[in-house]
Formats: sequence, C-alpha cells, structure tokens
Amino acid sequence: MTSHALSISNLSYHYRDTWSGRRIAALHPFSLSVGAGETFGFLGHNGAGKTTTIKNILGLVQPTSGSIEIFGLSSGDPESRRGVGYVPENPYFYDYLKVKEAVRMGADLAGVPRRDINRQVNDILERVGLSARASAPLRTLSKGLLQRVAIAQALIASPRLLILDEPFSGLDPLGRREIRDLFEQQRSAGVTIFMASHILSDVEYLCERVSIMVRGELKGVFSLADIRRQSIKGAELCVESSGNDDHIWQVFSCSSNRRGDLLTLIFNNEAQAQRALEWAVRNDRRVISFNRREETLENLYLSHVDTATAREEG
Amino acid sequence: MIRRVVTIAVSTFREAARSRLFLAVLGFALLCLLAVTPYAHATIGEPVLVVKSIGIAGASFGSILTVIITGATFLDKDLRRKTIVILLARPLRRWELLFGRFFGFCLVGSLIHLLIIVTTIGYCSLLDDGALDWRLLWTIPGNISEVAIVAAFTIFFSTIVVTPILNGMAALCLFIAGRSHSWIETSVGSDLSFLSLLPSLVPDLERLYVGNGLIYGEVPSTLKLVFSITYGIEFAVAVMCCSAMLFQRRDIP
Repeated sequence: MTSHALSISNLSYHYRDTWSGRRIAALHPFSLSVGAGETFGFLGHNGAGKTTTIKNILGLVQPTSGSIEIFGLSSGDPESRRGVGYVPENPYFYDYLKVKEAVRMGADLAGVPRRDINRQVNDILERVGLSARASAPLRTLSKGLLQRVAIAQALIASPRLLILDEPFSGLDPLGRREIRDLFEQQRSAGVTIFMASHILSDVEYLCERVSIMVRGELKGVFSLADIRRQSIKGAELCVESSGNDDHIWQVFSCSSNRRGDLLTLIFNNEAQAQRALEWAVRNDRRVISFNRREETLENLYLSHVDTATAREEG
Repeated sequence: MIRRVVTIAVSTFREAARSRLFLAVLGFALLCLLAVTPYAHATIGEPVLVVKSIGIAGASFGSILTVIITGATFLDKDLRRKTIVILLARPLRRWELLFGRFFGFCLVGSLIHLLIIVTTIGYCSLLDDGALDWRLLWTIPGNISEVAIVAAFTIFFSTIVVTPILNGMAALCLFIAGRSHSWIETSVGSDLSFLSLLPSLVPDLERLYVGNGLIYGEVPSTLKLVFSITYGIEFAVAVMCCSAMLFQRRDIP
C-alpha cells in the first residue's frame, strides 16, 4: 500500500505550436510527491504550468515523458480518478443543467451508490450553501455560485484527493472564508489536498508544504513549518530622528530608509539590531517600532520568480 | 460502466430536449404537412398518399438533420467551453463518453422521428375520415439504424475534424451518399481501383429506408427488419470503435 496520494516522477510535457510546428516545453522534467492526508500548495505565476500539470494528473493530456501515480494507480487508468475531486479554475458546466442535476451527474459518474445519491446531493448542497438554489439553472448563477457548484460536485463522492485549481477565484471575501473552512474540514477528515494557486495567503493558511513553479520548471519544494522556523532574518527598527542620524547605518552595518522624521534601520543580524535599540534608548530617540523581519512565503516565492526573470532578461 | 454511459446519454438527451431544436424540427415538419395539403388535394388519386410520403420523408430527414446538428457541434462545444474537463476528471473512460453521446443522439433522433410519424398518422386520419394507418410505424427500425450510422459517422468526424461546420457537411454528404448507394455501386464499376472500395465504405442507407413501400401499404418483412437493425448496429459499432481509438490519443487542451 502506497503512502503517497500523488506521485509525479520525471514528468515533462511538450506541445506543438500550431503555426510553426515547433515543439514547446510547457513542463520541464520534475518529480514531486504528496503524502496521503497532506495539504500541498502548488505555486506559480500565470502560465507557469500549474494547470498543465493538473491536466497531466487527470489524464487529459499525455505526458511527453515520466509518470504519474494517484494512490498507486497510473494516471492513465481512469480508475485512478475514482477517489479524486477536481475543482477547476473556471467552473465549466453545461448551462442547460440545474444545480442539483449538475451535482447529481457528478455523483453518477463517480459511482456514488444510487440509494445514497439524493441524500448526499442534498447534504453537499447544504454544506456549500446552495440548498436554496438547487433548482436554479446554472446559466443564471454568478461566477462565485458556479464555483460553489464546482466544489459541491468535487466533494460529492467523498474524495480521498482533492485537486484544486485556483479554487477561490470569483469568490467574495465571505464566500472565500466559508469555502476555506470547508477545505479545512476536508483536511481534518484526512483528505489529501493539492492546491494550485498564486494567492499566497490562501496557500499559507491551508498548506503544509509548497512547491514553486516558474515557467514550467519546479524551483523547489518547501515545508511551510521550516520556512516559519528558519524565517527570522533580522530586525527592523524605526525611530524618530533628525537628519543627523543618517550615518548611523554605517556604525551598525545595516541599511536605512528615511521618510520625513522617521528613520528605519534594517538589520540582517539580530544582535546588531539589539545594539541599535540600546543606542536609540540611550540617546533619547523616540522608538516607533522594533520588529523581527521574517521570511514569508511571499518573499520566497518572489525571490524565485525574480531570479528566473532576471536570468531570462540577462 | 453502463451507468456512466447512461448518465452521458441522458445528459445529451436533456440538452437536446431543453434546446429549441426539438421544437424547431417538429414545427418545421408540421408546417411541411400543412403546406403540402393543398397540393395533395390537387393531385389525381389519393391525396393522403402525398401527405404520408412527405411525412415519412420529413421524419427521416428531420431526425437525421437533428443528429447531424447536435452531433457535429458537441465535441467542439465541449472543448471550447471546457465542460469535457469536468467529465473526464471523473473515472469516465473516453470511449464511455463517446458511446454515451452516441446513444443520446440516437435517442434524440429516434424520438424526433417517432413524433413526426405519429403527427403524420394523426394528420392523415383527419384527411382520411379518421382511419389511423399505424403501418407507418414500421419505418422506425430502419430509421433507428440509419440514425445510429449517421450519429456514429458524425462522432467519428468530430474526432478528426476541428470545425463543426466541416464536420456537419461531411456527415450530410455521407448521408446523401448512403441514400444514393445503388447509384454509387453502378457508377464505380467493379475494377480493383480505390473507387471500387467506395460502396463498401459508404453505408447502404437505401436498404434501411422502407417509406416508399409503406405508402402503398407494403409492410417490410421480418427478415428485412432484422437485417436493418443488424446492419445498423454492425456499421455503427465499427465506426464508433474507430472514433474511440482516435479520441483516446487526443490531448484535451
């Protein structure tokens, strides 16, 4: 029995340009595994290859090389998708269907036992807040509500692996929180979540590990707990001072930034920051703030994207 | 497996039923029957025969046209709107999707045919002092076979042709060629050229159409009905298997 919910090995994907006939690499070879019960964030800018990776996982496109396994079954085998719920970036539905029919269709295709279908459909519509609109035609729904339908049809078969492609797109702040809570419930119930997104706050909130994809290349896999643990990168001291203190950055080997009367000193070393704070108190400077500088997911993500951009431009 | 195929078939049928196509085809058929009535009364002999003839031809052509229109656009629409992604993200095999669609189209086409035939029977009874000629229902087995073959070819063209218009035109040409099968057979001769293969590649839809005899009360023999159904199933299954093989390898953009 495999302990990996999703295992990608040496996956690459090339497509042929329609006009020039040239082969273009959408995904450079990479490997990745997501443990059962884990919540994994798949980060990347627009066009980085997140959705292409998901299409490979779902067997919609054939990988150029490499293999993908879902709970030990090859992604080429439709049975591998039996325990998979998928929420696409844009909710794609037949607009002639009603909300309940769309979710029911998902249940039928996923093999939910017939005797349980009605109960499960009603239950899931209640959970995503669509009970009142169960009979509404899909073409009358807003994008946010369609996103809820997509989530309902993904959860209907009690999936073991949830693949989410920008799941919060189109949701208002309240809806966003409700859906995030729903995913959190799934996580607590042991469901593996693979979430592609470029909204870092959502990923930071839900995920345990993240990978960063830049222009089809996997830049690395990081544990958010490690990022938080190793995050202290110095401190920031903000004092009210006249222009006479501008040279102080040389004394403490830090960088400085002045805005009016406020001087901000940025330290990579916490001990130096401590010394600067003592200096400020001793010399009657008014201390506005003294904060630890932490490495955030955003910094990490931006550093990878920026490096790649700089390399390309260089 | 069967449940997934049935789910797709029901969804296909639901789409056609909720679109205005059904009503449009039925309305058109009824209009044809009404329009032909004055002309029928002007002919020498039985005016009802002309109405029956138009009714049977309209039922056949209406069902085929519905299948071609819905069948030629389905894959293009599914790919363009990306609705196919939601379906294939389920444990649904691609051939199950195609066969589900196929059965849905057959159901839609056959129902259109049945409705037009029943309307024709009803309308003819009004012209013929209330006599209901239920023998016209014998067109159904042949029509189901014809619809199945055209639906299978339309799906086949969808898997290889990108534009729905081209696909629809190819399917319509095939239907016309199928209805002109005997002419093709006599025209191409029996030498060993590529053209001589044409009668084997083009389905013989002429044999499936029993309308001409039925107008004069000739009920087709059981053997002919069995042949129609077997021929339709064999041809459609063969074409659908080719479609499934082609579609299996296709990337979903």
